[in-house]
Amino acid sequence: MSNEYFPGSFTFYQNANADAESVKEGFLVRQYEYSVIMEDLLQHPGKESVQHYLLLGKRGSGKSTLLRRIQVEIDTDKQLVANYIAINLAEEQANIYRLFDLLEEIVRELEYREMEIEEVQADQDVHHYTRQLFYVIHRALDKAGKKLVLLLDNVDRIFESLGDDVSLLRENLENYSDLKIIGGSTRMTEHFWAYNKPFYEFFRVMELKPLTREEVKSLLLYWGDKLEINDLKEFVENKPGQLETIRILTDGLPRTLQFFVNILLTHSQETGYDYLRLLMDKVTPLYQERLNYLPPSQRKIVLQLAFFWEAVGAKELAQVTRMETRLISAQLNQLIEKGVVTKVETKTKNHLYRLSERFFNLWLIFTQGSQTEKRKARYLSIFLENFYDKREIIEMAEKHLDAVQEQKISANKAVLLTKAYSKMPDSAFNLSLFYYTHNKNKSEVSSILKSLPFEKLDEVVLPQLQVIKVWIGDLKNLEQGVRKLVDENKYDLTFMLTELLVHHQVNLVYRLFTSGENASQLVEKYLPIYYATQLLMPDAQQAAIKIPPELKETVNELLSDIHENRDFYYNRK
Amino acid sequence: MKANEEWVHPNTITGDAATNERYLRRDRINEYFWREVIKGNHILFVAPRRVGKTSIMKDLAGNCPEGFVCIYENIEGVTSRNEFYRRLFELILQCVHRSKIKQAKDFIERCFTQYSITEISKSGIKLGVQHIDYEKEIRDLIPELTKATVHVVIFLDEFSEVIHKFKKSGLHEDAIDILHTLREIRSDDDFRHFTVVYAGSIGLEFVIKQIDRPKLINDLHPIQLDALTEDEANLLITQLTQNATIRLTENIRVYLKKKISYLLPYYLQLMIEGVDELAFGRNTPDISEEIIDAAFQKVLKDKKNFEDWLIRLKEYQLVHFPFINDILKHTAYHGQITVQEVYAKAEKFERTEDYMDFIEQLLHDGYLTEPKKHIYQFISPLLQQFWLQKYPVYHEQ
Repeated sequence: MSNEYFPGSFTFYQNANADAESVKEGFLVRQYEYSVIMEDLLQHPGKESVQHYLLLGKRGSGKSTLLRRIQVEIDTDKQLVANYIAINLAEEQANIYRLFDLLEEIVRELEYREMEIEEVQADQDVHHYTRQLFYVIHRALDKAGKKLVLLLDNVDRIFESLGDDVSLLRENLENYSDLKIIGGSTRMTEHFWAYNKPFYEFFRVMELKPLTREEVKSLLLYWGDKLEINDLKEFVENKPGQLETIRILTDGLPRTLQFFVNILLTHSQETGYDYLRLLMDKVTPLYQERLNYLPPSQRKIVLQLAFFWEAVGAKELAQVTRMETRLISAQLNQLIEKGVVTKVETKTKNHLYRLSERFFNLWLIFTQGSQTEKRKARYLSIFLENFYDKREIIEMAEKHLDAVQEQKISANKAVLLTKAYSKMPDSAFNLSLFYYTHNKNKSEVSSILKSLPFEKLDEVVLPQLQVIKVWIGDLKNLEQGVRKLVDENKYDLTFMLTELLVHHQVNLVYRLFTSGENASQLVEKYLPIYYATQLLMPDAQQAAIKIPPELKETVNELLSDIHENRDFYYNRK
Repeated sequence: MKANEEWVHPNTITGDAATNERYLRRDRINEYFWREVIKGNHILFVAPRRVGKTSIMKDLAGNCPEGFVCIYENIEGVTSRNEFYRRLFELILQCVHRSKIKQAKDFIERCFTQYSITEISKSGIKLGVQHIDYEKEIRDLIPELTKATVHVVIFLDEFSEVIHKFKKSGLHEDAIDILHTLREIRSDDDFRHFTVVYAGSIGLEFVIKQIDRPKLINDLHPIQLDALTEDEANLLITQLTQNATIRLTENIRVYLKKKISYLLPYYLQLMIEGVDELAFGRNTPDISEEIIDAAFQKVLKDKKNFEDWLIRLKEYQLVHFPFINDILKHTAYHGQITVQEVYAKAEKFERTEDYMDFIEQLLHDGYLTEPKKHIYQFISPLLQQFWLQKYPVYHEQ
């Protein structure tokens, strides 16, 4: 795994090995979580109650980096050094099977730091031996006048192996204030939420969520500045659609973003899809290992879940895998246990399932999918890139208009208008479009359209023309006209489909997506619009739970645009 | 990327017990507790998880009146009868060792000799003598406390877990033996300088019911722990946020308290943490109603496992689930349910004979609380919201 552009400063998989200065310098995201924990450590070094933390996040979300950053601060800040000892059991964790294994590791670490620690004789009575280990650890910490901050990546796995010893661990955490656990985990296991488990709601859970659009921008600009790379700044400013496509489809993970920056700087690409392809190569060793680790039957289910992309039921899975539903359900439960699959609750007993890590889902499509599945991914990335490029232009126009025209015309419409004027020679059509964007003079537009020489129009405007006809109430042969455009398969229909939804033609758009020869291709090309259409249908709740999480934000943005435009056209005061 | 560097977070704690400046003492509880102990009562703290039993016990143990010497100990790791007695024996010595009274010091000195003690520290006791019958030693030791002229109060947290665990692992007789011994100690006049305070995440009454020995604890004085009053909640909000960057006006505090409804410190702190996170993200110190609403939704979303509460109920109340769920749905919709309303439902479900057993179960398992006699409501506003979301339509049965 090369790391061409971040030598020393940024490492990908094993942050435990990075040196202190590099860790400090490279720590840019997860500032909220870091500041909460640091403030807690600085303000409560004494004997009072101890806040324990559980950092919850996907692989690559920055858990290990955050743990390492905390360790470095405790090791280097004068005030913290005086009060705490940080032990980060990153690599040693594989040896931990029982509680005493964990305590033995701690004892070894304390001895390594030359702390005075009493000897404990190994004992056949494991319970007694574990208590003795606790005893010497408390004694050593007491003598040193320090608290121990135990940084445990994959703390969920440790808890799973502890069995009944968890009670003993909790007992010690309650009776002594010298031990603080900050754990990282990819999932919330029942240890942390089941009412009858000792650690029920014991940790403060901090979820490391996907980076937001703004965070990604700031991060890239910071890197660009820090590493003196102008290309990064240019990319952020000029390719918003590509950046957003990559962010959305890679779960907004900091680690993936680093891969992306390397690719950007070493193998600049034309489209967001091209970047995604190269990103997949980078993560292949990691994901291939994960896939190989699964038994063949589960691997099969995982692959099919990936190809479905949206959440599906056990019955549908049984059909494509040709496995019994009973067997599928049992395997799905195991996959849920492993954190690979997420169950999506429905109103009925037939729940839906999808892969938990969406980037892993996309990787499976890119690397294991057929041409059809890969095409779906390509269409989606193209849609997102165009969608967010356009939004960025609209946002820029909004700012501009705010300043210049005091919002006398809608920014959305202004952009459309500019495009129309620049591309369309026919002034009569341009005037119609102008009135449409201002929601004015419908009767005049009706007259214009009657005399419009359609054969002379640039065919690029035909989808817009359909929308204008709907707006003026000319609904004759609407479906026929719209279907013709769909079947010809040569136009960008984003505008037409969304505007038809604005003008309440939800049933028509839904029929386009679900019937006719080109329906499935239309879904592939305009997947977010398809989901938005479903959400405008009566059984929206059922449709909503199927939507892949990575697309929810885009679908919501689409819906918000549709509702905003509905207000503009139908509820204007 | 380095924005908000000056941001100061509220001084919350969620999970572990709150102590010192993170804890809000409620004098009414402390005064009531000591009044009962002075009367000679042995106390049983009754409350579901996350109500704050441990915080209260730690505060009581750390701030006992003159003439008393106290120790708090979580004993959930105890796995055998002998270990329990040994632990109790050590706790008595550790407790007396804390006293500065001369007679107590003399008492400890005698113990040093008698048991060849080499060290007493907060980490434990080192004894030179092997193979001690700790139960016998406890029976001998406690009457001697009269000479130490101090009243020893031992707070045994998670005691009911230990008894429950014994029962589960086939140590039924050992559990009964411990309960018998403690009962005898409580009723013997020679042991009047010794008080044990019991608590646990599982209600002790519930565990005792399982082993069918109600008489072994029916002398304990139960103290029900309840929510904060409006004024106490205000004090806690001030305490948590006084040095923090976020600012909550009087109106916003009212709104926050209304949102939480049943004012347990835990949920108040969770909400303040949620508010702080959102405000930090927006770099907005002034908290609005919109942020409170968003924080509530965030906390609800983060607590992903409410489904477990429903599954649990379905599993162990398979037959009576419709009746119980109807009680909960009513409570979610109306904010509360009265005993009369429960009875009306019991008539429909033909459970008029044992309807209160179900209510007790819901109280014990942390679903409902009883803020006023015979009025029940959800203990957690989040759980109530979950029920509302789970059952968006409710037709009164």
